[in-house]
Amino acid sequence: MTQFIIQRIYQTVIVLFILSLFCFLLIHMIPGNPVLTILGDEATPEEIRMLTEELGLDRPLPMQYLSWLGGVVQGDLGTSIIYREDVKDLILKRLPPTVHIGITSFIISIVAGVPLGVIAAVKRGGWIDGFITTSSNFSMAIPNFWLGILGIYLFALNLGWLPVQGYVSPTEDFWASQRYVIMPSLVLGLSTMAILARQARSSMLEVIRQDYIRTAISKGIKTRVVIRKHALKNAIIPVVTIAGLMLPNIVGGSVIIEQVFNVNGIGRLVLQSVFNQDIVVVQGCLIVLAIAVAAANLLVDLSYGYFDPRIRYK
Amino acid sequence: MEHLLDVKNLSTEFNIDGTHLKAVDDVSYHIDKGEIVSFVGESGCGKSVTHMSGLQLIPTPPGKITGGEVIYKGIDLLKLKPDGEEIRKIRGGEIGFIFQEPMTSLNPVLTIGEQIMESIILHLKVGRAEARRRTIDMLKKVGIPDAESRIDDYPHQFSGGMRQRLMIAMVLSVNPKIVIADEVTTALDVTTQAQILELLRDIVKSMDTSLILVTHNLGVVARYAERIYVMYAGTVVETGTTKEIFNNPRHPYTIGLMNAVPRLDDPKDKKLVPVEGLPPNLANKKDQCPFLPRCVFRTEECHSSPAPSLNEVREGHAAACYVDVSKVQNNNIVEDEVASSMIVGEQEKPIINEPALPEENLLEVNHLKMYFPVTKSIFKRKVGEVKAVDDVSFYLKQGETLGLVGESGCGKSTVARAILRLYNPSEGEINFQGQDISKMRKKVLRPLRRNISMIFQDPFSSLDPRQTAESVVGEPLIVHNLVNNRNEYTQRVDELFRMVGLDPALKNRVPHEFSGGQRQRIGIARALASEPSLIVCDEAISALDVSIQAQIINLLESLKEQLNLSYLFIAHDLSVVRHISDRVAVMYLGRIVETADWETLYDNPKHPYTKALLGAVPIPDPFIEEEREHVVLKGEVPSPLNRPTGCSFHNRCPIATPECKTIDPSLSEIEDGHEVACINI
Repeated sequence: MTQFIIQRIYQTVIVLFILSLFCFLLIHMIPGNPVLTILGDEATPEEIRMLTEELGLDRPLPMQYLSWLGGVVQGDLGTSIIYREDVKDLILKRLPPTVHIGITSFIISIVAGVPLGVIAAVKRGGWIDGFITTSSNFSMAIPNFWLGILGIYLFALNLGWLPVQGYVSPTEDFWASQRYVIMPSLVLGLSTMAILARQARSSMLEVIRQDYIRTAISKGIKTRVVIRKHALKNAIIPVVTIAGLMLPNIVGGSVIIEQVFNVNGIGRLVLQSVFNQDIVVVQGCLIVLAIAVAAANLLVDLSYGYFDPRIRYK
Repeated sequence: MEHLLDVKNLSTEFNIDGTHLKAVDDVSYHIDKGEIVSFVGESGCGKSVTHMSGLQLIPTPPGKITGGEVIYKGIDLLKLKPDGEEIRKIRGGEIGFIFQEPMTSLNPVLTIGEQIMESIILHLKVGRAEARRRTIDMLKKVGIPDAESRIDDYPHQFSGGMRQRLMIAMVLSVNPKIVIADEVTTALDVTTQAQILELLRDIVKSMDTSLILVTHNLGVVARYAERIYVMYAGTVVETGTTKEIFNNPRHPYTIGLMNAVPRLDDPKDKKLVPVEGLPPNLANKKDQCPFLPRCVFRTEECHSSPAPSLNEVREGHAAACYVDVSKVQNNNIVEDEVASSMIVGEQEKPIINEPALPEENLLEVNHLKMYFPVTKSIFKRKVGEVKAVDDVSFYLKQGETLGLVGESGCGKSTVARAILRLYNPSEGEINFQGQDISKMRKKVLRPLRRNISMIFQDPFSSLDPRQTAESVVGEPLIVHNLVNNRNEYTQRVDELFRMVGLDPALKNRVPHEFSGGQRQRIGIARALASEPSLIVCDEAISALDVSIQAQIINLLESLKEQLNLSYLFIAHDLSVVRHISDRVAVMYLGRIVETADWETLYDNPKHPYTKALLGAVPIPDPFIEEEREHVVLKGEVPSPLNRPTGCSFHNRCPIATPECKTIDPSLSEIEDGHEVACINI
């Protein structure tokens, strides 16, 4: 198991290294001179020189990368060109709403998706299965910004159950915060939930026709216990894999959801900075999100060891 | 007397895509306390479904029990709710089920202790601590070493034979009254099979539990069963005590089965008599004797009458047949049928004197070694080697068959693959037709490849499901440029089809439209296409049912005579190897431990491993089995990763001396052509 963990961490480090390279090169991928693109046509030579120096663009490329990477490792992500503020502070300020909504939506999609899939599998061919399968197909097809607008219209404007938009931190007012977070989380997590439900259904169907399930039934164990104790832990492994793969979806979806619900999170920051051509902020946000996704995937991989002893004892 | 389990007129159907398959059709049987009863039959005869139906274990839908009674302790089990309290008490608690596949029948994510304790807690109503204590006792009883620490291990940490012991422990831990063992040793090696069956027999006898032994292996039946039910096409066709049935079989199918199986004590020239034809399709079952189309005893009466029911022919012996087989001169009929059914038989010449074998060897393998590196960590550091084949030498002449036997993991398939250069040998020479091909470059080797073909084990997965039979058989012709035009190609493919006894009209079908035996014929036709001089048969018949097995063995034998082929026949079934081989080599842990001509090896085995292997093979004759001494080899084949020092067999050997731990014996000739690797003979 230790070797398995070391191996996965090693792989994660390599992935992060490659990602950092892409983030860094972003500034050079903008067509033309990045300084001119940022400053516009009316820039004075003095401004150009200063920005070039500030961005370090006068130095050779490998040197630029190393000094940038060194900064990132020490937590220095540079200074925003537009806001003139430290990027790290900017991100830290914008991070909590995104993390809050992201985690809530991830939890909802697992906690609701997996049992729905399991129920569909156990009741295979019945009306419950039909209902769950059809609605998960439907959920995957709905664009989430549309669903968000629909939700606001129905639950906030018409019924008045939930606030229209915005975000309140749980440290400020815990219950109010949940009311703000629930709708964007559901909207963001719905397609993930549907995908997990389908994966759980097919993987459960695969498991319940295995020989060891037949063994368990022949021992005289109740069907419910067979499903819970013998089948679920086996069926969950492919679901965990898919859940890990869905994380970037949630991160990517947050850009749109924060716009629709007017939440000041990282997603919005990225979007605004792209429009403002605030490359340093975009770089910073991307590297932070990349680290988050890679770390989450690492956790997913390590959880295999918990579910599957064959990995643990290899 | 009231029976412990009394099953009357049980019928089970499977409803698949609108067709009703009568998997079990009006089956009645009973089990008494403490007896060992065997259900014999080939795959698809309904022997497993019969027993699963009784406990309502068949999946519904598509399965449906359509009638009958299963009386246990005065209760009809079929009237109980499938997941209800009452049947669950009996299922597992009173009637235990051991399944065929030990590798997949245990839950991989739960410890074996948890899985056994679960049964004990459920049925014996004891606490966890007590359940754990009983589990450890039971593990010791089934021969798991270190039971106290191994109880917390997971199934993948045990070998196949050990897992079957765990299954036995799990089922027997709750003191059931009946144990159903469904093909429990089919997936295991012959020495492990003997260990498991001896263990099972001893335990059920000591606990006075009844054992139902479901199997296709007549030898196992003869050795262990007291009473037999022979099943065919979902019905019981014959029943009686084991001795009575083997002594005086009355149903043509039972007789057919017995003639189709090669035995260790057969005369060598015995031609196996296959049961020709195929089992009937259970979907369109008519009210007629199901065996009629394959029966050699059939009369007019059989055609016009409904399906016969079991009639007592003697006390306690019943057969479902209209013909009194014992009064018919059956030998003539059988011979006639064989002659007319042998499609390849037309060109076959009677065997007069065997032609003398040529001087030079067709294939000569010298000191072949095949090592696989074992790597560790992310840097793929080499930490060791699996010595799959370790210094193996043998030769094969044109027209000769060399049998290579050994248990799984002994390296016999690796030898085959190295000869075909599917692997690149680590060391040694493979001289084929005078050229060393072991290090030959791929390009140089390619034209030689047409001279060696291979027949694979599994006829179901070794054929491309999307290729037609014609293109499977014809591909080698095109690859090796053996035909000049379309016309020649078609002619040759048709010829190959006829050679293996297939109708060329079927050549546009895809593999799944053929039966297992027919697919293996396609595999043989493919192997013959390039007119090879050597064919490597890697377990070529072990996936087939016994009646079909005999057809394929006969086909291989007559093809060999016709075409002067050489076979390297790799198998684990010693009776089959004896039947087909001129010379035999026995492998253990990557080495040949004994080699001789077939007669010497089987009549006068010298190496203790060969002796143990032969002793473990049950002979399908209860009278002989009664007399035979059963020496069960202890332990399991060690991993080639940590091969024991000295003689690698010393830790299991009954005649090992202290020197065996240090001296690594090499093959030495004890008489002409008989070589043995043992220092104590």
